[in-house]
Amino acid sequence: MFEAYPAYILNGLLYASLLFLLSSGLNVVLGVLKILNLAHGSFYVLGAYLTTSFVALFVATGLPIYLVYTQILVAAAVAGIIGFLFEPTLLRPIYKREESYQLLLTFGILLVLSDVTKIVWGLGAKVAPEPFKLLGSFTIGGIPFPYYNLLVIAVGFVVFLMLWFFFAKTRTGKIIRATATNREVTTSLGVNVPRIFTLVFVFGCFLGGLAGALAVPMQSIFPGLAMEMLILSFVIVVIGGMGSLEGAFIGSIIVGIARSFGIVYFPEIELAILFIIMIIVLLVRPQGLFGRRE
Amino acid sequence: MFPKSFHIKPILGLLPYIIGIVALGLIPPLTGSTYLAYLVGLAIVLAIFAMGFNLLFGYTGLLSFGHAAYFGAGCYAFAMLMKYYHIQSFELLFLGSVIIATLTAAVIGYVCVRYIKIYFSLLTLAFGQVEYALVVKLYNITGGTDGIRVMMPTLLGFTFKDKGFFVTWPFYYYILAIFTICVIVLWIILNSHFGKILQAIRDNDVRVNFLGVSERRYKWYAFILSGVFCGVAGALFAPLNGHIGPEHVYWGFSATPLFIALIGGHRVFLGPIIGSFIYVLVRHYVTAFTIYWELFFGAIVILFTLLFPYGVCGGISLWLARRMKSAKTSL
Repeated sequence: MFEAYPAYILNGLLYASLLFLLSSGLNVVLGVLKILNLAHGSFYVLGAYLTTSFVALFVATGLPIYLVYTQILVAAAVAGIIGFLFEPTLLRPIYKREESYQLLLTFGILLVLSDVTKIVWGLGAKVAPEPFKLLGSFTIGGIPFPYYNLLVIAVGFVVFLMLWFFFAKTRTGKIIRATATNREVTTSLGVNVPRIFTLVFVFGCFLGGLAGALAVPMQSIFPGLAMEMLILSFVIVVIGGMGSLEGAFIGSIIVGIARSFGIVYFPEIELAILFIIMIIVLLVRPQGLFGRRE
Repeated sequence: MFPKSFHIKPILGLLPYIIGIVALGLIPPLTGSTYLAYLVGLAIVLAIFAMGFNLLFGYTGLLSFGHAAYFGAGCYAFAMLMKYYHIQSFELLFLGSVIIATLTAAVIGYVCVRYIKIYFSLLTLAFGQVEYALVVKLYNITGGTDGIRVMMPTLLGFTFKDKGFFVTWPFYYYILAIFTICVIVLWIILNSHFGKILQAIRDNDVRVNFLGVSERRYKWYAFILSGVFCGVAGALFAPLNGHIGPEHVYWGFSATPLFIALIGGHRVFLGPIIGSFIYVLVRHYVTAFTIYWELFFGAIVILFTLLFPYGVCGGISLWLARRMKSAKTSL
């Protein structure tokens, strides 16, 4: 029974990697713009659907097949561009309004995007198996594990390191953190805050799209996934702490591993386990594991 | 604060409600249409649902994304009590469902009211989705995605055979009567000390705490009351619709009262009621020509949020207040 554990842990890390990409996008937007983007899961779904289309187009062109992985980045970039359509037009006018209006607005975007994906890609499940099949798999503890999944785990880890470096060491990263801490002072120091907001929102959507794009070769995609992913990334944000990168990282690993083992041992209440973890964290440490008390 | 709309005298203020309810009561004898009675019944049920939701959203300032959980609890309690315990009396089923919905709201609310703003909103959503997952996964008792068929219950001991007659006449007036009671009860609640505290919490919860009032406890009471109204709506909906399914617990359904309160006007008492009739009417026509009504409703949510944050009723009463040069206008 224990020989299967390495595979479960790898599966958990795979899941954690996707969830980290998704929830760090949500968390960055929440930390800087102070807006909880309810449409964030829709960008995951968009990234995934775009990948299915781009991969199919790419395979049809007959270019060297190993370049198919570029389509994942292209899909994530397009998801970011779609995010760019919303921020200056719809979100910018409501930063000063009550929080419930901000939630309502992103909720409206969620509804619109949910039907747009249905109109463009239909109701059936979509797949893009080529990048996945290409790499083959190995066996661990008697269970086959695909190399593609290892790649996804690596991408998640590399993105974490890059984000950490970006926010801690680069000038733009520091400006973004300053904006998150105090909008007025940052403005008075001559920073173009609306531009920073747009940048951060687009970046958040890109990360959400990237998570979906990486996920689609392994699993099929369907429209209802948007809300499921939004709730999972919210669970991670609560566990890790609002606006905390390390929190999103650790939270993703906790949720990923818990879900991987939960599916094996308690398949009926697998989702409930995550909420129990979340409620315990909320009761013991309301600001999250890495969050700061306001 | 929101201007006190256009109530010149309390009696005059009540007049529109009386006219409205009498007009609704005249629909079956004047038209005799079962379909129209069903639509109006649906609008009334959703109005009760939205009123319950709006007790939290418009009056306490708590935006819940999981109110389908309590509506759904009412629906499922009704259907399951009928199916497994063979209770036929609507009154008993109604009582049982409202109690179960209220208990659900009390338990979930107890956890949720500890958190503010987005945490509150997302926790309610999360609990709602847990309930949805339970309904789908425990399919041997809930019927899973197929849902449960709801038979016609007996009303005050009378048995009915014809579904069309049941919906057009006896049950229609039953719904209308319960609706009237709900409106009166909600009106009393909102104008009581309790209601004023809720509105004070919405406007500034820190100051309410400084006054020595436990803001959290009042939020919990408001949450439970909200659950009562949702349970009432759910228990009326089950026999009206004749069928219930997991879609009535799903987050998409939680958007319904939000949408209704937003277009009607969440800061006006009449808002959710008017909003509900607009919703049923619009949905009736939109679904007639497209299956993509979410796109349409999402666009309306965005439009109203950006341009008409006080909804139809709020907009009209603001406009009237400005016309009458009411001195108290300040937003």
